[in-house]
Amino acid sequence: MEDNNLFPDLLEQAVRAGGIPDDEISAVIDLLTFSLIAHL
Amino acid sequence: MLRATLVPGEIPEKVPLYLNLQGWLVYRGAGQGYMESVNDSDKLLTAYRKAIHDYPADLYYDTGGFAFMGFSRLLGSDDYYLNEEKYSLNFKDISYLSEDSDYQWLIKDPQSFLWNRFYRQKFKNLNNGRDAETIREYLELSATHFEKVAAMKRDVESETGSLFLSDVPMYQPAFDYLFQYIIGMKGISMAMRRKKDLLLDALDSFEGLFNHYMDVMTPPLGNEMPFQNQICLLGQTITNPKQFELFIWRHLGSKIRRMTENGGRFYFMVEGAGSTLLDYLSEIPDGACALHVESDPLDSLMERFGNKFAYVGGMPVALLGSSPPEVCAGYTRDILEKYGRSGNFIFSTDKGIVFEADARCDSLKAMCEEVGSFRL
Repeated sequence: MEDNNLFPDLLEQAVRAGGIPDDEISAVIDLLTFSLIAHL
Repeated sequence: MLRATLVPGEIPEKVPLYLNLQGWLVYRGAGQGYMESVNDSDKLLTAYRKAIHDYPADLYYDTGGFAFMGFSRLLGSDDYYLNEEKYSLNFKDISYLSEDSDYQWLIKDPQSFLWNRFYRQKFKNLNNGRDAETIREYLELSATHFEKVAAMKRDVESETGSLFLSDVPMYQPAFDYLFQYIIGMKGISMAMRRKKDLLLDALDSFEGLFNHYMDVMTPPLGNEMPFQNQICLLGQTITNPKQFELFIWRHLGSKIRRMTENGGRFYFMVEGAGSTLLDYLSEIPDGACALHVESDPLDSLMERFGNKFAYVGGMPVALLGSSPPEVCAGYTRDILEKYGRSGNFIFSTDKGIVFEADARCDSLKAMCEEVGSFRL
């Protein structure tokens, strides 16, 4: 695995910095993971 | 009305019309170019609003929400080509999964594989020091875009009563996810032959993750809706019967059982020919499925399965794109008389209307008028 992993730490930081409350971060990451796969 | 098509013995007042409108007809019809339309939420929705007004139907696939390419552009993907002249999109056959170590990674921790390997390779803006900024921009764009899409759907639904299939939770088996989005056609063909056990474990891992997401984020709709779920399948076109059972039906069969165990109904879009899949469809409970198979004639499906399903289709795009309105209207009338009276029929085109050759505007209007005025 790469040293500078996006998941989970950088991703959590980015989502938090986007103004998402702490108790919603995990759900937003799930939603992002699910959404990104279908983008070409 | 849509729901009635699935209830054995019930006859709706009319035959419902389903349209999957995309590409040339939508954007060109609004006087817009292709790239300007798919990269701009407002232009995209304006074009779809006009198409929905011009071609009245009971059910549409979407309002263009999923045709929006702004997300791929923002994320930095260059895995696709847009053809401005033909208003079409093609994607490159790239494999992001080939090494055994990557398979092991996906099997052990699919979320980590997706973010730390696949998304980082595919989406250049998640791998150039702008990761956090890209994710923030993505969240903002998603919120803005899908608010506009939802507002437009509400307007259309309140004005016309039409529904959108894109609001129904969609299931795709892990096999389809993997080959359409991650490993490509060549990659999956090679993996089925040379990495059977790794592929099976990877599919099981992926299926578990995405079923979890579906359960949490897109629970089935209520019983008052015509469908609680939908399935879209393409994998049967590239598998032989043994491969279909091993790599696809193991997940698809189980999901269909879960979808229907409490009386749930689903719309089943089968791209291409039904092929081996057809041998398994007798397991679906009667009245649970609206079946739309692109390439198999309705007559052969109805002869084989009788009243088990509601059948979707009837109009070949090859005819709609090449024949004048009076010919298409006459053909539509014949199809309505032939299949509509039994009550388990939803009129549609065999494939989505995507390319210029798929529909003449005047012929599509004539088809819509004919279906709209036909009463059972």
